[in-house]
Formats: sequence, structure tokens, C-alpha cells
Amino acid sequence: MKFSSLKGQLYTAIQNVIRIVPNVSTVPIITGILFCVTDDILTLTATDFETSITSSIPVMNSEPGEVVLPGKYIFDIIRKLPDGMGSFSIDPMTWKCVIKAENSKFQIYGQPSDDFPRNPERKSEIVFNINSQILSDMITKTTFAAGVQEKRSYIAGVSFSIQNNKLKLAATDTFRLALNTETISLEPQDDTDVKQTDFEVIVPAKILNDVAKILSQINEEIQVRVGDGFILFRTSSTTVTTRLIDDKFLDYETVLLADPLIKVYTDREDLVSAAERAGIINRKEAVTKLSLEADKIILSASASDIGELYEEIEAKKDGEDMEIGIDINYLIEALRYLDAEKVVLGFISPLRPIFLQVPEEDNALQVIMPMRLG
Amino acid sequence: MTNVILHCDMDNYFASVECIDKPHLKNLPVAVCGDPAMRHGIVLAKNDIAKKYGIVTGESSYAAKGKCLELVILPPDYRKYLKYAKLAREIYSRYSSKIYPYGMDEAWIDLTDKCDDFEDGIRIANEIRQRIKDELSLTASVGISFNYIFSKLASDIKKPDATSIVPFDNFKSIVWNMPAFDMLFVGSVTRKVLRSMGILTIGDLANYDPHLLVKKLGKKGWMLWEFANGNDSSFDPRTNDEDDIKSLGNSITPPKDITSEKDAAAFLYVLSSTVAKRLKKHSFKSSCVSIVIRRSDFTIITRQKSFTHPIDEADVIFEYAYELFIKNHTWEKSVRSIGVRADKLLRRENEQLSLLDYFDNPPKIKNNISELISKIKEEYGSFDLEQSASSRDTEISIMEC
Repeated sequence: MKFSSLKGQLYTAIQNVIRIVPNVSTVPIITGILFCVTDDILTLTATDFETSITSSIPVMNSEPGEVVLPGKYIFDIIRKLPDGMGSFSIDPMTWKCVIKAENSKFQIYGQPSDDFPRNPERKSEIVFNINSQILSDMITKTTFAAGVQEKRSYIAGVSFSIQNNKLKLAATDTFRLALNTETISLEPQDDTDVKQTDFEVIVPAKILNDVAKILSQINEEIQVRVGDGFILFRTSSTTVTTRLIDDKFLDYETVLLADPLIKVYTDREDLVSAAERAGIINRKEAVTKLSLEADKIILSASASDIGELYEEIEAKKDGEDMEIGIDINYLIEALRYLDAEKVVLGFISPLRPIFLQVPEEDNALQVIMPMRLG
Repeated sequence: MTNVILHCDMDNYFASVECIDKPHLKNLPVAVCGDPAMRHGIVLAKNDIAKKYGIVTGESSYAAKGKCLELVILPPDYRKYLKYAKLAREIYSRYSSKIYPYGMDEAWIDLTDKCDDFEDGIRIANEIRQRIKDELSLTASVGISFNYIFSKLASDIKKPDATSIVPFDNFKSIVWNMPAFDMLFVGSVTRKVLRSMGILTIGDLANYDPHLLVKKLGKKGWMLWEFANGNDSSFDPRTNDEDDIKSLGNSITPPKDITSEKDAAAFLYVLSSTVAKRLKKHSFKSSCVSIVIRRSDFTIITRQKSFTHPIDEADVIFEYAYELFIKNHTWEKSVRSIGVRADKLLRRENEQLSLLDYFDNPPKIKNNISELISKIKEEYGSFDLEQSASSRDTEISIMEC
């Protein structure tokens, strides 16, 4: 087996797969990356049993074959290779891999690929296409709201659902919720297994962050396939397949039924800056008071051992005056991921959720539960 | 005009209450003990005669019996103790509306607005003692001072049935010779620290460099130094008890060992329900559940689990407790007693609300709690729940499930 490749291309491909390669494992082979060459195409595969990523690039002067190379070392070697062409050749008797580029020569020991876990091709029930940048953006604006798994496994996941041609991504740690929506179409497919029905699945948030990074580097239509217990994201060169979280997601639609009685329009940057200043006084789990008045929002925070903060932000309000408590860090994060100049905050009552949106837009919604004021 | 604070401490409370309707016991050594048949036979209280035999609170009833063969052992009757505690509080309320109970048998009475001078306070103290004697057939020791901390110390100066005074002008000569350990907030841990610094009496504490105390004991060091010097403005008798609660727990020692997982689950569920009830009563939520398993060979294991979403629901407490039990107990030994505790308590004010509050989370275990209790009582015989809190409950309530 052998091949030659440009360092840049090879580095991008290995960067995509190295994300999930474990440093140690009870199954040592998965700390390696599978290199497979066929017809001048090199395919790299990594897996941690939950997720597998493959990434393919065109290569030259190739002879087909397979080898598993130690993940951490081969990644570092490729990263440090001089720019330009590098050549790889593997001895199928000793699994010794020789890498040459300019004046350097590496020799690294690989393993036969027989024991490397493979992902069998599985039947998909739903198939849809979406632009890589759009999906990457949706994921980034959603996953931050997920939490760490405790009793409820869905907290560590993101709900992926399609209803009436709307793709919805939602994540919650139960104290706040991020929801992002995009219109897509479920077009009929030739494949008879594909049913193209509405669905909801839960995808681990951690791996979605990796998917978002991979997708952010390209700008193309990608394919998403969902089948029994898995979801797959396929770009022209890279495929990520991951196991779904078997749980029922929080029925967030119920929360969204509430109609905010009070709406406050304000400048996002102004509110973020004020909130960040309040964040200096109030660490996590402390309550910051929001007072909604005729033409302003007042932020007040105090901690007996640090000090106090009082801040007025210009705002336009529809509805009554109100006081509500909030964990300022949730507000800062929610505002950070609403990408616009103006925001509108919707309130119902001091113990009901707060809704944050961009005025005249309903693609992105952030919900924060308040804190009880003492 | 200085403050006039009374501290009333009922003498040998449990044992004295027992003697009210059993007058023949009055001249005999009496101890209130848990039921040995129920396997929690330790001395909870004793009268003065028993005290003379060297019987101490906390020792086993067997050991106590060994010191004094004639010792009369009585089981505790908390309902009765609570009844008399309420009657005593009724007597105090005739003199002031500012009554701050401390446990069942102690209370502070703030008479500052009711007295013209200290002499007036002494007169009222004696009157209260007389009324307690006449109306309840009990005796109390009363301390009078210009602050809470010293009035509590004063009530200990002479017992039983006495009034003692720590006046402002010579508190140093009275209080400063008393051991530091007698002062409120000096527990066994603090005592060790103080002793290592050479502080034995309250006077030693008062004359120590407060900054060094802060170094060793944190904020508490400053507080104790102020107390010792007669300034207890940082002490609030109203919130004193609740503020100190750092954990709430219940445990059960059934009359016979628990031998199956199913039964253990039932006990854990009962305990979780009562812990949840107490959390709600005190407006707390907890973000750490612990279990204590005492095995038949008397070895004890304690395991805990922390989480970020604070809880006060019985079902969730049970889930954590049960998970801890399953993970940590093997049935090589049976279980002698079992406890569930909620730690890392957060006040519900400033509570972060959750989206889950929107949904009625149907309990995952649909157990009818009273049915469950009667079932295990049938199997294991009747049992009492033992409560623990890191400080005393202002009103000890008997768990009625």
C-alpha cells in the first residue's frame, strides 16, 4: 500500500477524524486511525464506538491497501510535515509505515486493519439536504444550552426534528432552552426504505459541536440521513455517523404556547455590556434583578462580600412594569447567540419563562427560566 | 438601659416530664432510653438521681443499667414532651411576645421593653419559675443577662430550679472563668482548634488577638471573640436554628435486619419521602443525596451523589438513594439500619426555576406511601424514624407518615 498527497489536504482530513479518537481505550485499536486506499482515494476512519467519522481525499501514485496507524502520533507527524507533497508507503508484512517529505523521513509502526470496527451501511428512513454553513450556524446557536447528563439523558443532547418542512434544533439544561428553526424540504427519494415522515431524534451535543466545526470549513449542500438509532451527516468528503440518545426530549412546544404579555425592545450590545458588568458582581447561581420600567431596563446586582451594580439600559416597553430575577450568565449567553443589532425580550410573570428573540424574526428563540427573588 | 434577656432551661426535661404522671418515680433513678428491643437503646435523658450514679446521655441502656441496677428505664414519648414544651411557651408568652425557642426545652425571652431595670427581670424570672412549678409540676433554671449568649451561660450556672444573673458591670468575673466549650457555637471541632491555641476559658478567648482567631476559624473566630467580650449583635435568635441547617436526614433501625433489596427499596422510599417533606417544610432544595448503611456487623458505609439541579421531590431523592444503595451494597451482610440524607441545601428564595416546573412529572414509582409503610411495618414490626439535622429543629416534630 502506498500513496502521495499534499500536506494541506491530508492535514484537513486527519483533523476531521482525530476529534473523536480516544487517547486510551480498553480496545486499543480504536486509538488508531484506519488508512484505506482504493482507486487513488485515501479514506481515513476513526471511531469511539458511539460515533465514527470518515474523511476522503484524492491521492496520487497509489497502491491499494489498509493499515491502522496510531492516532496521536500520525496526527502530530502530518501536522509537522513540511508543506508540499508527502509520500507514504506501508509494508504489509511488518506494518511499518515510511513517510517522506522533502528532507524528512519518518518511520512509524502500524497494525493490520482486520480488527478495526467498521460501520455497516444502515437503512435510512429520512434523508434531507441543507447548506453546511446554515446547519453549522444552527448547531452552534443551539448546543451551548445543553447540559451535562444526570438523571435525564436528553439534557446532554440536541433535539433534531422536522415538522411541516421545518427543521428544528433544540437544546436545554432545563433552566434555559435554545431553539433554532430552518425551512427545508423532504424530497421523495428513490430508496424505498426512506419514508420522509416528520420525526424527532436526540443527538449528543458533544459530537454536534464537532460536526459544526467540520461543516463551518466548507460551503456546500450536505446530506443528513436518519435511521434506526443513528444520524449521519455527509459532506462531499467527510461522513459523521453517530448513535442517537434514546430518550424523550422535553416537550418544549408546551412552554412556547405561553404568550408574553410584556415585550421589551432594546439594543443587544448595550444589554450584553450591562449584563457582563453585572456578571462581575454576581457569579453563577446568584440572582440579578431586572426591573422593567417605562423606557428602560434596570439591572441591579449585589453581593454582600463584593459590592453592588446598578445599570440602566434604554428600552421600549409594551405592557406593565415588572421585576424579575435572573441568572445573569444565562442572559449573557442567550444574547451572545442572538445574532442581531436589536433584541426583544418577552415576559409573562416573575416566575414564568423569559423569551428572547430578534424582532420580526422567528428562526431563533432563547428561553430562560427566572430565579425567585428573595 | 441595657437589654434584659432571659434564658429558660427546663431541668432534666424528658425525665422530669415522665415523672409528672408517675410521681412514684420521683425519688428513683430514671432514664429515658430508646427501646432496646427496637435496637436503639441509648440514654436520651436522665434525672438528677441517675446522674449521681454517673449515667451519661448517649451511653447504652445496658451500660447504664450496669452502673445502677435500680435504674428505671422509660421509653421516650415525644408527643408528651412537645405538649409540655408548648405549655411552657404559653407561660412565657404572658410576659413577652419576643420568645425564641431553642430546641424543645429551652427558650429565650426578650424582656427589654417590659422591664424598667435588671431587678425587674429577676422578679419576672422567679415568677416564671414559680408558674412552671405550679402549673406544670416541672422546674426550670433561668439565666438573666444583657445578651443572648450570656443569658444561656447564666442558666447553666445553677441548676436545678434557680435564677442566675450575669450583669453587665461584672460579667467578666462570672463568665470569663467558664470553659470556652460552654459557649454557644463552640462545638467539639472548634474546641479542638481553640485548645490547640491554648484557649480554655471564655476569658482566654476574649483576650486573644481576634485576627489570629479569624486566621484559624474564619468569620466564626471574630464572632466568638465578640461573644466572649459581651457583644452578640451578630446573633439572631430567630434564624439561628434554620440558618445552621446544612443537611437534613432520616434513618431507620427496624426491629430486625433488612435482608432483601425489595425491602431496602421500600425503606429508602419511606425515608426519601420524609426527607422531602422536611426539605419542603424548611423551604430548602438539595443538590446532594447521601445514604448511610449500617450493616449487621456494625460496619458503616456512607455514599453520596451530587448533581446540579437542586431537588426536593421524594421520587428523585429516592432514585439517587436507591442507585447509591444498589451500587454500594452487597448482600453478604444484612442491613441493620439505613438512612437517607439531603446535603448541600439551597434556600428556595433565589432558587433557579426550571422548565420542568411546567410539567407534572408523573412519579416514576407509583407507590402509595402509607400502604408501603403499613406493609413494611407488618413485615418488620413498628419502627420510628430518627431525624437528624446539623442543628436542632426549633420545633421537633414527630414524623407521622
